[in-house]
Amino acid sequence: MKKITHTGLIFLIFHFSFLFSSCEKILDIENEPADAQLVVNAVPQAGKRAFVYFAHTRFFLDPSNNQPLDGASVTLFVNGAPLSPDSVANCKYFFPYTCTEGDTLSLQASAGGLQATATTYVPYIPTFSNIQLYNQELGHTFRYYQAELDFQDHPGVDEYYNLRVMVRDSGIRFNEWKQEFDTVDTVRATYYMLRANPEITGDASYSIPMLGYLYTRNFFNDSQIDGRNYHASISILHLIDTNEVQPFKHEYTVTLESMTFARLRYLIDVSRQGSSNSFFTEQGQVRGNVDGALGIFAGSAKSEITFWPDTLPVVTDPSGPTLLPPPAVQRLLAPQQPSKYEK
Amino acid sequence: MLLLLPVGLAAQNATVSGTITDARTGETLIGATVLDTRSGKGAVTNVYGHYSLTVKRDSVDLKVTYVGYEPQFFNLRLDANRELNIKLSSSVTLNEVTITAERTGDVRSAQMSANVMTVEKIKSVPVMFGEADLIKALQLMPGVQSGSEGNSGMYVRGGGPDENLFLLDGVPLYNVTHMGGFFSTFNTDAVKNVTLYKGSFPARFGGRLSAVLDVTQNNGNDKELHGNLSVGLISAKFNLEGPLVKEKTTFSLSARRTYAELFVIPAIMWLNDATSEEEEPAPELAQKAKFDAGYYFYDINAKLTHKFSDKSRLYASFYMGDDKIHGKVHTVTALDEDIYLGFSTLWGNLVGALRWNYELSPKVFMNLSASYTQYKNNIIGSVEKLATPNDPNASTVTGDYNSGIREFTLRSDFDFTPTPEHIVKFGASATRHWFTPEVANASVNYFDSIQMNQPLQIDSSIISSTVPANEFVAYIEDDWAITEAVKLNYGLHLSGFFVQNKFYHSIQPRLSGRVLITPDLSFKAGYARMTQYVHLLSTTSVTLPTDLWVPVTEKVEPMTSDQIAAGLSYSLSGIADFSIEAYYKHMDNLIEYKDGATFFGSSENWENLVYSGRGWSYGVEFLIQREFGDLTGWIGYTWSRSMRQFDREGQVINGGNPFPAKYDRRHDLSIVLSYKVSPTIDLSATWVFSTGNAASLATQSYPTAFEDPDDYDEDTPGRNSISVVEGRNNYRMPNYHRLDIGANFHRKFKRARRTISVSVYNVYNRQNPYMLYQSRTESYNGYPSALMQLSIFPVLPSFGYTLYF
Repeated sequence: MKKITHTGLIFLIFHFSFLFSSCEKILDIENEPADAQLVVNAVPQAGKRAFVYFAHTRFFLDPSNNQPLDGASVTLFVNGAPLSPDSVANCKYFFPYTCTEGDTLSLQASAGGLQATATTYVPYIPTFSNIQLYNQELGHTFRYYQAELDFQDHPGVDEYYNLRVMVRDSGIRFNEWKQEFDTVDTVRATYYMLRANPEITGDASYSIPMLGYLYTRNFFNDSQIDGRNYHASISILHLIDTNEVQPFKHEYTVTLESMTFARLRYLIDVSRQGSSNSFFTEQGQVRGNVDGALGIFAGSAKSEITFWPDTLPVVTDPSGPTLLPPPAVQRLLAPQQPSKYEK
Repeated sequence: MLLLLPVGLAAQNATVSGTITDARTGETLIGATVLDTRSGKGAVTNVYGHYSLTVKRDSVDLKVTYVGYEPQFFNLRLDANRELNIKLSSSVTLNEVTITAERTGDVRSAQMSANVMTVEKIKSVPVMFGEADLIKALQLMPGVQSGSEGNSGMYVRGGGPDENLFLLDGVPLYNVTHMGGFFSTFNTDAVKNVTLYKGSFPARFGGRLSAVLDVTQNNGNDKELHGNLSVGLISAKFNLEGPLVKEKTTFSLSARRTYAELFVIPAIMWLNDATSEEEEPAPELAQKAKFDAGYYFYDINAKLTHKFSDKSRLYASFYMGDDKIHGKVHTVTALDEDIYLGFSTLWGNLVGALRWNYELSPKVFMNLSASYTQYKNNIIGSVEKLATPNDPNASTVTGDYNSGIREFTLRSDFDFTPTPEHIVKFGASATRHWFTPEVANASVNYFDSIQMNQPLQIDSSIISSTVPANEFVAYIEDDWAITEAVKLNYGLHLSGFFVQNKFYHSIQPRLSGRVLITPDLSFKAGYARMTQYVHLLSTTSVTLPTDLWVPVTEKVEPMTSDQIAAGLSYSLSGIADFSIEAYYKHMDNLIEYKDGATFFGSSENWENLVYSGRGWSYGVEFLIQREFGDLTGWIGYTWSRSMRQFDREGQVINGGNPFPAKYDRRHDLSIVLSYKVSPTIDLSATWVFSTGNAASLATQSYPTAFEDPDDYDEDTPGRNSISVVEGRNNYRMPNYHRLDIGANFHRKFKRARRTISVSVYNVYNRQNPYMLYQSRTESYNGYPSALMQLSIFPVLPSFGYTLYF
């Protein structure tokens, strides 16, 4: 048992004066819980079966899952033709229909005297082409990867894009790597810099940097590229500092999602609310597009590629790639105008 | 109207002017009254103790008064202008060092919405940690609210904490708190006089929307050396003042420092011992880690005064104060690498001012000043790897982040007394600002012996954004005694601000008046327009060094306010003063963070994180005050409302609907009593009550929209992750109330005296809310989570010892 020293005793006495009355207590909620509201969640995707999640809100102290609504009625209109769900499971209403690009979808739902309606369309799939991947090793500690790809914007449709890069590293891949190379017992730091083009410029895009740079995304619209083939470039600089020289495996997934404005705004709001639930910020509100209910009914279409840079041949370029600063720093060097999506 | 002043009558008049000082210390007295009892004309000393009274050439019977001092009478034959310097003797027998000031709630003054806080009054209020605090005492006045528990922020008449102008000897202070807001930067030992203006601002003040706190430092005793030494629970301070050249040159020096780290050191030793006794450290972590950390703050106030003649004085004022948090962790890794991780944050003010008074003529008093003020914060983080036998290459990575504001001002002020009915003040100033919202530097000296075989060295400025700005001010005001019963103070404050090729300007009319209904009862009303060219970006209710001062920009326009106020003042002779005031204030171009936005850790330009909107506040303030006798104190009550609305295109908060400001409180009550039991003992008590703060609280939740139906089925607690926040600040925290008591025990020695102060903060241990959060480890009424309240200050005894010599 640890012996309490005089200094420790002084410390205890001093802090005891703060603590003996207990600093925390449960607050009584004087107000009755507000009436539950309908929730409609649906992201119809090109090439995927249509379904709608239909539930009600829960009291904020109740984090449990929602239960199906009794007596709910949900009708989906595909290009004006009504469809009824063919199966219902745990708040999810599945329809016998696979969404296709350019569909116009409407929804009518009711339960417990509450009604909800919403309309959206299914965007066109932004197909990748001319995919090129580069791997340039700059030494054990530095790796530089680059992905080059094209996609075609559909003409005449206001589409919004989310170019997303995700690195699977901190979880499964990292542990697999450590098991494979058991001589590696110390990892001092891992650090990523991700940057994606089209540039995060002006009010055509919105970016949310994530801690650790393991995940980045880049919102933009097609106002500058309407109907054209567009070239996207993704740069990844990876720094890892370990005690042992070993190949470090990663899995990178690049996703390009085409979506409606309602979904774009929803994603931004959700992300902001997630980061705002703290002592430092006001909790944000999430805006949907469903009349009479909370939630979102907004189409989406996406393409995705996954690659393992360490499996790529090393490109030797005497001039070397241009090292790009991390996105956060880049933005500070060139302050942006606010996104029009925030208006 | 000012042009119509009957200057031509000057030949029939004569002026008596001079300085009024304390007979024992030579300290100038601010707000002393000189009254010609024959004509009923009077004058009041300005902030330098100077007065000027013009009356018809005749015999005059002058009565010179100042609260707490023996009045003096002069019968003079006034055939020509005459200089009369007056020394008043204090009637206070025990507290010789403190200076009492003019009575607040003055029925006869045209000024309204102002509170004069004497040092004696500040020291009579029971205190936390044994440290008398100027701002905490002001928070007990009606119309002034504190922020969160123990915080020295001021929220005046529904305004924000950045809407207050804090002047120390006429120079703005940008950071007025220590220790995250628990203490103010004003050392009461160095302070002579404090006046808080909440509305009806005289035209000589400007630059902030909601309040002006005018603090004057002691000049210093011009006859003999005096001082005091104080020791409190977590800080100690001293004050020394006296003549360098008797009755010519004086000095006043005060310093204060915390020793809170003494309480932290045992904790660190204890925890380090515990760390070293860990049996098996995790292999990837340090084999052993030692850490050290500390915190302190200090301030130094100094003032040098030189009297060239009775007409000419020079003042040099200086203030410096810093807070510092620092820490270091020493780790020896499994590879026998010696690594030090360090951080330090230093923030504080530096203020210097040089002022020269000169009486150009008996009717014209001039003050010229040059001043510099600076607020900065510096955050440094470092990783240092020492060279070891296994790895002879040392590496260091250091990053530092700076922000702050600097400004240099040249200013001239004139007091002109053309006739007995008019006291005209006018002046101008030019200020050069340098705003530094953020500057970051990185320094890397890295050597990877395993692979690179060459050092990597970077030493660069990552971010640099100093923004210069120029500000110009001119003002004129006239205190006009229209009749014996009617008095008017009117004026204009003109200002211009030039920043980043954008020029903003503002014309701010000021008007206040009083009608004497009876000799003891007056009606007052006032109007003031204010403009503010700087914003404080703050992410919490707690004062943090990361709070940033930023200028207006092309996108973020200056804040403006229009405030009207009206009220009654009544003096019940021998008992107490009463006042009631009602106000309405409209504010425009206020800024608020967007939902979910914070500067903390964000890389976005601050302009993109805020929206502009408007606000309004209104309320009624009651004050009953007694400043004489054995029982003194006051009862202040405020009923108020403060709202915000952000509904401009693209800048919508709360759906564009009005919402309560964070510190909107319907009721705010303070009862402050001090009782002199005997010449050696006085007791005091304070009870405060206020409506709870507003907070944004979710009421319901629902799931995020997933693309894959299977994602809805994952059994993840808290999967209902989207919160329904029905409105900003839609929830009221529990009411706040607290009782503090204190006692002072005085004892006189042959050449000194001492005071032992004992106080208890939060006597009945009320758990007042500091912040709310949701806990998933607690349950409430069958729900698997609960809303929790965090309180920070339970019952808190403290003491102080002061030796006066």
